[in-house]
Order: sequence, then structure tokens, then C-alpha cells
Amino acid sequence: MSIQIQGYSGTVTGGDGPTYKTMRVTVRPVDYGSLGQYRCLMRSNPIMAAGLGSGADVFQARWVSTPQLAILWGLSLDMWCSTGFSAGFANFTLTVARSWTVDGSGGAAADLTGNNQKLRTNMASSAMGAIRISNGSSLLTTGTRTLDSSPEGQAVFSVGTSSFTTYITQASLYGAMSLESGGNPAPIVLAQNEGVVVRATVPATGTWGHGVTMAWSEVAAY
Amino acid sequence: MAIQIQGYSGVVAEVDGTTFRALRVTVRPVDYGALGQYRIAMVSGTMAAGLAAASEIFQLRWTQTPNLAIIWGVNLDGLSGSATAFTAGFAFINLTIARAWSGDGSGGSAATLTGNNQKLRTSMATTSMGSIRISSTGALGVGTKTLDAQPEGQISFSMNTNVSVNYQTMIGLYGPSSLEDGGNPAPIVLAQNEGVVVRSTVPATGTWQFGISTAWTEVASY
Repeated sequence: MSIQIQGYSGTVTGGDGPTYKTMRVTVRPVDYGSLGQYRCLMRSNPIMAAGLGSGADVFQARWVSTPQLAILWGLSLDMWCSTGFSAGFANFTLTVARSWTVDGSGGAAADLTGNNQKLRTNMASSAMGAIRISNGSSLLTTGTRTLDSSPEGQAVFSVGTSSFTTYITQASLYGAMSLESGGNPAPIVLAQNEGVVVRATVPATGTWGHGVTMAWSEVAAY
Repeated sequence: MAIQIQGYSGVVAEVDGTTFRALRVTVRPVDYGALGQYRIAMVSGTMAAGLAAASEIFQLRWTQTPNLAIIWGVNLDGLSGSATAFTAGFAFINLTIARAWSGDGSGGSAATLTGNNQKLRTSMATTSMGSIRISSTGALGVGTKTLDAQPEGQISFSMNTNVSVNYQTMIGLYGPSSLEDGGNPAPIVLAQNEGVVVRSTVPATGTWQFGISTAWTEVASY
């Protein structure tokens, strides 16, 4: 006996065709309930001055809500220079921060109020505690937190003496699917007082800019 | 007769609409139970010139039993020359599965894998990964193991006499961009004393830096 699968609203599912006899599916977002999905781009403006300390924070996102969770799906990086560097290696890393009890400071902080960064206006306002990026006139302070011993994502590259060079364009420092062959999702799931930090190590003399784009969902459970 | 699919919590699955009659699905990770999902990014030091052909520069070794480690992907996060250029020639970076790995490798920088480090959610278990190490300036000690006769992943490219060249940006040595188009999952599933090794062959004279990222899930069965 054949049976049909009927959705919640009464629509019956369709089979795709007689060749493979598969069922059709459509992928929907993780159920955010009364919360939502968000995306935020931040850019250093003015650009970064020369002489940044090795491993300095250049982007921070901190989740403070409870019992909700923030699911961080991905984070990408752009990086370019104005004045050329002394030739050398650059390393931008993404690291998970835990027990983040005191927020960082400095840089430019995102305005996360109202409808800002919602991917659908009827979603709730983001409950993200803070998102900030460093810039030439204001570096980030770290606050109080514990970083993992090794980063979870990175970009490794050389920089040279040429001015106005684009080094990194939308490189994924973290992607929930970027390393998961076959589509196993592996987002970073943030509980209260957890977050992610992008740190930079660049050679001397160059002045440079960076942009960071981050996508996340806020959910009651996952 | 039509039936409905009711989830464990009583929610009935929905069909998306009458055009395609597709069942709505949302993709979740492989069920890691009491174990977890992890990711790590490691960067080398400045690799000295004259590395022997096929030197090991990254090692990941799983030692636990009866649990399994599912390696979803291994990325080369960049490979860059310095101000000390290479002689022109070919480079070959590959990933190979190691079996019967009874004596751990040595040298380089070993990751700290205790506590919360590298968890993608703090409530996950501490990783049971035996060791992960990356070269500092030269080849890693190989330990005792059997490598497959041929690699499972690779990147081959030319190097030249220019300084500060970014030879590779982020590229999958193993993983999502590779061979399983259409979403067929083909992770490397490691049992006790198995692992993966990245080996490199580069031309003479140049000094260089590289980074490696990998993502894995630890499960009781798969």
C-alpha cells in the first residue's frame, strides 16, 4: 500500500520523477522562532596605522544573552593596504572566546538596535552584545576573556612593499560549511559571554584597511 | 491515504507549497552525542630553505578507541614566499592517510587540545584527538606509521624567483571543494592510531610560511 506525506497545512509532497523516484525537499533556515537571522559588515575607517602589535584584536563579536544561543555561520575578511609594508608574512586568525566577562572597548561599535542587520524586518532586534572593529584612530582592547589555545580559522599570506594592494578579498576565516565535505554543518554555537575574535599580525610600515562580514542566527535552542 | 510526519516533540513537518510540493528540511550536524565538533587553524614559522622532498609539515593523529574521528576537511590556508625567493621549480603539497600509527610524530608546534580548546560549543566534550602538530621551521619527525601509497588530496603549482609571492590562498587539500559534487559526503573516518599527514615538496633557496585548518567530529559510531 502506498501512502502520501502531507504537510502541516495539508499539502501533499511531490515525487520528483520516475527516473530516480526521489522526494523533493527544500532547505529552510534553522528555526529561529521569535528571534532571527542577521548579517553585519564592518570596515576599518579610518584605515589602520602602521605598527600594530602582533596578534592584536581587530574585530570582536560578543554574545551576552541567556538562555538563547547565537549560531555563527561564517565570517569573512577583506584586507588591503595604502602605504606598502616591509615585506613579510601576515596572519589573520579567528579564535573562539569563552568566559568573556568584560567587554572589549575602542574601535567602532556596530549599532545593533531596531531593525539593523535583520534579514527580515519581522525578526526580533539582535541580542548580540557587541560587535566592534578597530580603526586607525582607535585600537581594540581585549576586555576579560579566555581565548582558545589555537584559532579555529585563519588566512596566511605575504605582504610586500607595493602601495594600494588588495591582499584578501572575501576570504572565509570561518564558514560553517567551508571545511565540511558533504554538507555537515559546523557552526560555532555561542552561549552567554562567549564570542569570536579576529586577530592580526602584519609587518611594519604599512597602513592598511580591513573589512569583516559575519552571519549569525539567534535561537532558543540548537 | 496521506500521512503526516510528526517530530519527536510533536511538530508536524510542512510541505513548502503547491508548485514543487517539496518537504521542508533543515540540515543538522552528524549526531555527536556526548562527544563534539572541533576546528583548528595552525600556522607555521618561517620555513627554512632546503626542506627535503616530501617532508611532513602537518600531522593529525587519532588515538582513541572505540570512538571515531570524522575528518570533514583539511585546508591549506595559504602558502607564501618571503623576501628570500625560491629557485624556479614545482611545488607539491599533499594530504595522505596514515594507518597503524603506533609511534607519534615529533617536532614543530603541537596544539593544546585540553579543556575547551577548539570546541565549537562549550558544552561539547574535550577533544580526544591524540595530537595535532605543524612545522616550525623544518620537517616534522614522522613517528611510526604506514602512509597510503598515493595521497588522497593535493595541490601542485609552480614557484618562481619573485619575492613575497602568495602562491596559494585558501584551498582545500581535502574537503568540500573537491570531488563530491552534489553533496555526497565522503569524510575520512579515523579509527584508533590513524590520522592524516600533509607533506610538501618545494624548490630550493626560498623561505616560506603556510597555514593549515581542519574540521572534525568525534562520534561513537558512523
